[in-house]
Amino acid sequence: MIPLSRREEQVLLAIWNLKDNAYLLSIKKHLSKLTGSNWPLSAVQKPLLQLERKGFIKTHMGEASPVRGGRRKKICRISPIGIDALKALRKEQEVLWQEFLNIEINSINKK
Amino acid sequence: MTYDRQKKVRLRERFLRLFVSETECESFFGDTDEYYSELYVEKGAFPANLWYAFHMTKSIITYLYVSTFWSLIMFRNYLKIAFRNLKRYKGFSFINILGLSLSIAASIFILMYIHYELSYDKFFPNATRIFRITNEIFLGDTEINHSQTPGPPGPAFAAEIPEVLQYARIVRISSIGENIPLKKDAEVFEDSGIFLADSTFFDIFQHTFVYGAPQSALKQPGSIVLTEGTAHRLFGNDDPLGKILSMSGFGIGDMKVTGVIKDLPDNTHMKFNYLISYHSLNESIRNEITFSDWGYFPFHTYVMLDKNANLSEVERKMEEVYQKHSGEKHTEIGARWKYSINKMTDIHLRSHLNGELETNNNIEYIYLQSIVALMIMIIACSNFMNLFVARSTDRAKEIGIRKVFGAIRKNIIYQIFGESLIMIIISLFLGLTAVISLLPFFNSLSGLTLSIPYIFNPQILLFLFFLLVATSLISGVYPAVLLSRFHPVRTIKHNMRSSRKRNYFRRSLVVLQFVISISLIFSTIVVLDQLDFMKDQNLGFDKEQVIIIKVKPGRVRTEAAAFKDLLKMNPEITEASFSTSVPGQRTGVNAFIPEGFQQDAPQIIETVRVDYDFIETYKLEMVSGRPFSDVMETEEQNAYLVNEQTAELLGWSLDESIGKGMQNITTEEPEKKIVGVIKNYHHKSLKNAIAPMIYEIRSIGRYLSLKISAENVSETLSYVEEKWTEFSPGLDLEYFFLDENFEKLYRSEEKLSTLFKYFAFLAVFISGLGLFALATYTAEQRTKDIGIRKVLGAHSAGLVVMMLKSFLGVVLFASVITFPVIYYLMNLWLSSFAFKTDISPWSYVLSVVLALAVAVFTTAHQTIKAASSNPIDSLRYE
Repeated sequence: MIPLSRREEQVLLAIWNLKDNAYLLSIKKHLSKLTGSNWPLSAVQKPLLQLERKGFIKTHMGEASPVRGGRRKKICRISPIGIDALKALRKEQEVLWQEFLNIEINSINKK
Repeated sequence: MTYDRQKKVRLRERFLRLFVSETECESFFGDTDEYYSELYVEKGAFPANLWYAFHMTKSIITYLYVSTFWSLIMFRNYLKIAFRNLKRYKGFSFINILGLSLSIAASIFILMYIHYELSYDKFFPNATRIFRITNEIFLGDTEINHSQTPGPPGPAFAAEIPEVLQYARIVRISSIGENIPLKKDAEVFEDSGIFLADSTFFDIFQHTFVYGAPQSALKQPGSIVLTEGTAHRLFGNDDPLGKILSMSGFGIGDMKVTGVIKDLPDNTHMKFNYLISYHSLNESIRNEITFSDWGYFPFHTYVMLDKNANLSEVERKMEEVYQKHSGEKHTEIGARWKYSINKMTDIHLRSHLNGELETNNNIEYIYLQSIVALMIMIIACSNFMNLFVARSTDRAKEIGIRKVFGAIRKNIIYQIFGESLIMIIISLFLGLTAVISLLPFFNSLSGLTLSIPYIFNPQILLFLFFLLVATSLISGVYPAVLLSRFHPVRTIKHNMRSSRKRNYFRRSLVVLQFVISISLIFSTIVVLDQLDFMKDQNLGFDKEQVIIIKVKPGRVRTEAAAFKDLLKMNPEITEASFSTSVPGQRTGVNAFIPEGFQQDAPQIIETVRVDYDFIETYKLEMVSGRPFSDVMETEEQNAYLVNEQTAELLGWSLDESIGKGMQNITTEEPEKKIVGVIKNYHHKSLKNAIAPMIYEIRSIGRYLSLKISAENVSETLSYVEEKWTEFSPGLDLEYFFLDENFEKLYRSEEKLSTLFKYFAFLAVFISGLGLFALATYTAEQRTKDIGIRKVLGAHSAGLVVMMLKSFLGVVLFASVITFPVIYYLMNLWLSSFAFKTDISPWSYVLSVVLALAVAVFTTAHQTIKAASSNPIDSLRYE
C-alpha cells in the first residue's frame, strides 16, 4: 500500500469534492476556504504532482480561457486506486483513533 | 476593473520557465495567470503584482538553494571519495601523479621555449606591419637568396609604391668595410654591434627612449644612439646626452650621443649596441652605395606597409620599380634580381638566407618539440586511463551503490571527471613547482634566460588552463564512459571480471606508450649517431691544435707580416697563416667567367683569399699542380687555386684545369690562371655538400690561423697575447680553437639530441611506471588463477614466463608497428644532411631491447612475487 501524506490526503479529498472542476487553482481556493488558512500554490502543486506520480489521480487537459492567457487547465480526477487509498487510510485512522477516543471519552466521563 | 495582461508578466514568466518542468508549464502558468487576474480584479494592480513578484522570487530562491545545497553536499562526497581513493591506492596515485607532473613539467618547459621563440620581434607595437626586403639573385643556373639588399631599393620603393609608407636601412659597419672600432676620449673602445641606420629607423622600430627623442635622434650627421646598458658601461651614471664618441673611418669622425634607448630584449633578431646616423658617412661613399649602386648589397632594408597592403601586389610593384632602375643593366651581365618581402616576425623562425643578422632558429624544430611534448602528455594520460580502467572492478561496487541510491549516469560521469581533474590539478601544482625549481637547469640547457615570472604570462597561463582541461578530458573520458555504464545489480551481485574488450583497450594503450617510447629512443640513437658521424668524420684538413685569432685594426693589420714572423719565432707555433675565411666560417662568393664559357653564363664560386702558408697550416693536399709559393710572388698575383669540386663543376679533369683562365666579374679583375687543384675538404659543416671553392693570394685577412704544438698551450697563448698587446694595445685578443668552433656548427643538432635524450628517458620512465602499476594489478587479480595452476602442478618459472609473455608481446608488437614509420621519418631528417650516417638496423634492435628491458625490469618483481606465492594463501577463502 502506497502511503499518503497529510497534505496529499487533504488535496485528494478536495479533488473528490470539486468533482469535474478540480485543478490547481480551484483546489487551492477550496482548501484555503475550508481550512481558513492560505494555501500557497506551491503547497498544492507539490502534492498534486506526487499524487499523479503515485497514480491516485488521473489528469487531462481542460478548456482554455482568455483570463488564463489562452492556456488550458490541467483537470484532476480521482482514480479508483485513489478512492481505495482514501478508504484504506480512513479505516486505518479509525482503528487508531478508536483507542484514543475510548480512553479520552472515558476519562471525561469519570470526571 | 477589467483585467489587462501586462507585458511585464510575460517577461517574468519567461524567466520562471527556466525552473518549471516543460510538462507542467501550460497548466501552471494558466493557473498563476488566472489567480493573478482574480487578485487584480479584487484588490487592484499593486497587490496582484506584489503577489506575483513575491512568489516568483521565493521560488527562485528555493530552487537555487535546493540545487546548490545538494550539489554541494554531493561535491563534498565526491571530494571525500576521491581523496579516500587517493590514499587507499597510494601506489597507483603516486604513479599517476608522478607521471603526470613530470610530463606537465616537461610540457611547460617546451611551452615556454616555444612561446619565447614565437615571441621574437613581436614586442613592437606595429610589428605586423614591418617587413623586410630580401632579394634573390639569379646568375646563370645559380640562385642566391640574400637577406641583404643594395641601398637604393629602400628609398625607391618608398617613393614609388604607395603601400610602402616608410623605409629604414641598417648596415653593420663591418659589412661596408673593415671593423672600425669606436673611440672614446681618443682611446680605442672596441665593441661589437655597431650599425649605421637611416634617420627613419625609429619611425619603424618603436624602441623606448630613456634619453633623447626618437624623431630627432638620428637626423643630424654625427649622431649616435646607444642602448642603456652600453651607455651605462661607457659613461656610468652620467647623463650620456651630448657625450662624444668617435670613429676614424668613412669620414665619420666625432659623434654626439643624441639618444639612449632601453636595452633590447633578447627576443629580437636585430641586436645592436650603437646606431650611428647614416648621414655621418662621408658623402662620396654615401652617394655611391645609397643611390646609384643597385649591385652592392650590404644593407638590411625594412619597410612599414599600409595596413591594407596586399603583399603580392607590393612585390609586383617592387619588380616594376627594380626593372625601371636597374633591370637592363643586370640583364646585360646575365643576372636577374628579384625583390621579395617577408614579415619581420617570421624572420627568426622561417628565414634562412645569406647574411642574416643572427643565426635563426628553425620552425620545424619548434613543431618537432611540440610533437614530442604532446607524446609525453599522451603517455602520461594513457597511464592515467589505464590505471583507472584497471581499477574499475574495484570501483564497480561503489558505482553500483551510487546508482541504487539514485545516481544517474551523468552524476557518475561528473564524479569520474572530477576525480581525474583533482589528480591533474595536484600534478599541475607539482609540475609547476618542478619547473620553478629546475628553471636554471633548463636555462643552461636551452641557452635562454627565462625567469620565473615568465611562467605567469597570461598566454602561458591560458595554455596551462587549456592543458588542464584537455588532459582531464582525455584521461577521464574513457573511464567515465566505461564506469558509468555499469549495471548496478550486476556490480553488487557478481564479482566483476574485467572483460576482454577492456583488456584490448588497455593493451592498445600500452602499445601506444611503447610506440612512443621506442620512437624516441630510436630517434635519440640516430641523432647521436649522426652527431658522432659528423664529429668523427675526416674533414680533409688538420683541425687539431689550430687556434684562430680574429684580426683587428691597428698594427696587426698594417704590419701583418711582421706580426706573423714574430709569432713564428716561438718554437711552439709551427705555422701561421692569414685568410679571409677559415673552415667553419662563412666565405664570400664571386661570379667567374671560366675560360671557354659564355660571357653571360657566370659561375658562382665561393672565394677565399689566403696567404702562402694556408695550405701548409691546414695540411691540405694538392691533387694536381702546385700550391702558392712565396718564391714566385709576382706570378702568384695572377694565380688561382681551386678545389676538386670546382674542376668538376666546370667539367675539367684535374690535369686539364691547370693553366685554365678564370675571370672574376664581381671584382672586375683581369683573368687569372689556375695553378693547382686542392683535394676536397669540408670548409663548411657536413650539413652542406662540398661547394666549389677558389683561392687567391692575399697577405692579410680577417683571421690568423696558428698551428701550435700540443705542449705548453697556455704558455703559447700568453705569448700570443703578449705580442698582440704590443701590436694592438687596447684591443682585446679574440681567439678560438678551430675544432671546438667547427663543432659549434652542429649546435642545433646538439640541442635536438639533448631534447631527445631527456624526453626519451622521460617517456621510458613514465611508460615503465605505468607498466609497473599494471603488472602489480594483474598479479593481484590473478592470485587465484595462479594458485589453482600451482596446485595443479605448474612451476613458478613457467608462471613467470606466462605472465611476462603478455607484457613482452605488447612491447614486441609496438616495436613491429613503429619500425616503418620511424625509419622513414628519421631518413627524412637525415636527408637534410649532405653527409649522413646510415641507419643501422642494430640501432633499432637496440631501442627495442632497451624497451623490452624496461618492460621486464618493471614487471618482473611483481610477477615473480605472484608466481612464487604459496597457493594456500590465495585459495584459502574459496
